[in-house]
Amino acid sequence: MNFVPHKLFNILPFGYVEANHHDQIISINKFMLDLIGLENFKPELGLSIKDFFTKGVIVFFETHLKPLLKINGIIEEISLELSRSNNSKVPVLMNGVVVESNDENSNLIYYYTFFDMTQRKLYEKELLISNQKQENLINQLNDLNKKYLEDSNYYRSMVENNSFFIVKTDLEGKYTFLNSFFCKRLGVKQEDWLGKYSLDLIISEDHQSCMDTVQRCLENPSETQWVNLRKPLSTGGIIANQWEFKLIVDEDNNPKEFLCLGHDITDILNKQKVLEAQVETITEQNSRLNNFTNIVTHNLRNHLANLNGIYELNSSSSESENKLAQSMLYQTIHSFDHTIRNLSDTIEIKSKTTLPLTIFSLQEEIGKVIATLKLQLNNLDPEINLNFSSDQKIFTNISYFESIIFNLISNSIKYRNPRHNLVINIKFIQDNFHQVISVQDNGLGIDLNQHSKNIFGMYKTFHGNPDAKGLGLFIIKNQIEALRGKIEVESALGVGTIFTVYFPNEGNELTAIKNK
Amino acid sequence: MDKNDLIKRNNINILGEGEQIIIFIHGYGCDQNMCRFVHPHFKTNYKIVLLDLVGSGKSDLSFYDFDKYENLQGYALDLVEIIEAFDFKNIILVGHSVSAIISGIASTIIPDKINKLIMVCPSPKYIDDYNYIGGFSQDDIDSLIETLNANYLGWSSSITQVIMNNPDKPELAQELSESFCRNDPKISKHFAKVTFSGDYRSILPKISIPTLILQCNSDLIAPKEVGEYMNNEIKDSKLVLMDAVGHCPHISHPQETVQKLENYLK
Repeated sequence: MNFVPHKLFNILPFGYVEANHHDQIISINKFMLDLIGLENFKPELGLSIKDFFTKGVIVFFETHLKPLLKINGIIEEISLELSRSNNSKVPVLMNGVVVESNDENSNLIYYYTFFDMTQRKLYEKELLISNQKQENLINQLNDLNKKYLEDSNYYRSMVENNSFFIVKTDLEGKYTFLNSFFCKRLGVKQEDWLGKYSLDLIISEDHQSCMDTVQRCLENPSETQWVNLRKPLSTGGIIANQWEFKLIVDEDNNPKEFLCLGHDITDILNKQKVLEAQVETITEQNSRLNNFTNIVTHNLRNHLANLNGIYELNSSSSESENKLAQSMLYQTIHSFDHTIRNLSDTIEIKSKTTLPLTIFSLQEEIGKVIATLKLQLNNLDPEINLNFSSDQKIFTNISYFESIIFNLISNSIKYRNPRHNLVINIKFIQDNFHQVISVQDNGLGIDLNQHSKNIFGMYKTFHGNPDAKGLGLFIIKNQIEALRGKIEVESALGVGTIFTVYFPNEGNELTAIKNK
Repeated sequence: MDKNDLIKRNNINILGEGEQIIIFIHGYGCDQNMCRFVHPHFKTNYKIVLLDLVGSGKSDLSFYDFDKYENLQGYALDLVEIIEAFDFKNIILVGHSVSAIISGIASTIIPDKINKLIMVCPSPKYIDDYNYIGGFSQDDIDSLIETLNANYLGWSSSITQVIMNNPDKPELAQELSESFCRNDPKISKHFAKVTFSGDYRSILPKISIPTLILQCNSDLIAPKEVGEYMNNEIKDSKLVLMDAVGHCPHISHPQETVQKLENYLK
């Protein structure tokens, strides 16, 4: 052990310590003594370098620094705290090297230097603290970001994956957001429509109600306003949406934007239309059924009353009366049979859904009908004009066609005006949609003001004509409707009547051939 | 896990020409290189097994599970796993410092496989307790952690890369100087807390294997009182005092260490 109070050694601006392999201090400079607060140093005290260390530093020294010195021969820039004699601490930066001594034992000698780093430690602490703060902030940010991502993913999936339309517009009505369901349904791209006027995605008829709804939102910012709007599809067609508009306000309660939630009601509206049509059909069928039932009971009762009268007549047992009764019975049975046949025809028309359609000559078929009516035409010499070319063809159901023409001409005969000769004009025209036959007479005419509602009802007669059975128009109307056509009537009392029948013109040549 | 996985996990090295198995386990701080002045003396008559505790040296850091290694049992189970995988028998287990305790725990799990335990500077509990002198207070542990925080000893992920990617690098000496005692600071701190805050006194009476306790002269980490306590608690133990000072006699006084080991194993 030697202690050399060398001048330079003592004025070095850092602590200098030399120790043996037992860590006992061999020499130490003045700077080091001052640093640790020792006034002087007596080697015989047997100070160990570990006496300058705190317990924690001793563990580090034993488990890390000594092995490092032994294996690598050097330690550099080790940051430690030394215990001062007054129990305060001083932060230092320690370096160390180990060399073999020149003596015969080749013992190891350890040289350490210690730099006071009180000032530096302050910066370091500041740095560490701000580093820690920064790390905390980053963690907080990461947590927030994670939370935000979770939330935003959650809400985004809610917004994107639902089957509602969600759009936002600015106060001018320009789109600021369109959800994917909306874009998909309308066949538009969000990027094409952001910043564009939302009215351009609404059909013009609905612009006013849209703007009215916006106005109501502005007047009642706390309320939600409902409106139905129709939008054109990029593929053509129109969809109907029900929308809920709400004004969004900023922190200062100033209007900021509009949030609009909508859903497609096209299907609902379509279904509603179908339903309405069905209700109409059912109501009409019901009314016809009522009508039918009334007639059935009324008419059958008539025949029953007749039969009852004949029975009473028969019981008188006079020969001549018997004969009369027999003839009356025959007539009654005949008309009873006719009534029942008419009724069954009517039912048949209603129950048939598809009818065979053929193409045939108009003139030929009308000629046949006129021939059948020869009996009724007896003693009459009506003028029947066919205003179409002789090779004109028509495409429809031939039996119904005969029945319709028969009834219309027969009506003209029945309700002819006895004051002048009967003239019947039959015309035919056709366009893309219809084949139209009109039968015009100069007969008695019908007061349409009075009868237009029930002209085609069952057993309605308007003239007190003895031949009128009130079934003809009812039957042909049903037949025409079964063919998906329609019948119209124009008439004036004392002038005449025009019945116009529209047969659908589905009869292009191909369909006609197919149906042959 | 098979042997190869374990070799990778614990950086196991097996040397020597003998049959008798002797396993050296490093303590807290560095790695198996701590034993490099001692183990060559055993190479003729022993099969020497060296390993790095998971988290230290060139062990596979990806196995460092903060829950598993929250106490020393985690390390003891690794040791048992290695012994069973390699089917080592009649083992002499030499553990330094914290690894003396790890070895002690392992010996209670597989006592029939271990012949002798050698504990170098052991301590079952570092912090003073009622009627027990460990030599440390909580403040001391805190100051250790603070010192660790202030000194990464040049540890950085780039250095780790070098170590990991060149396991068979021939320039061992240079590599050693580059890598020695440089441990992941996070793991190093955790290991320090587990080592110095633990209380394994209850393990000692369960140790049934003949045990040598090597007690250093003026070891501030494992003082004489602790050595005596260990000697009292372990049934079949022998306490031997060394001239060596400090806590790492195998580093500072390898010759004496070898001599004490050989004396005991004779």
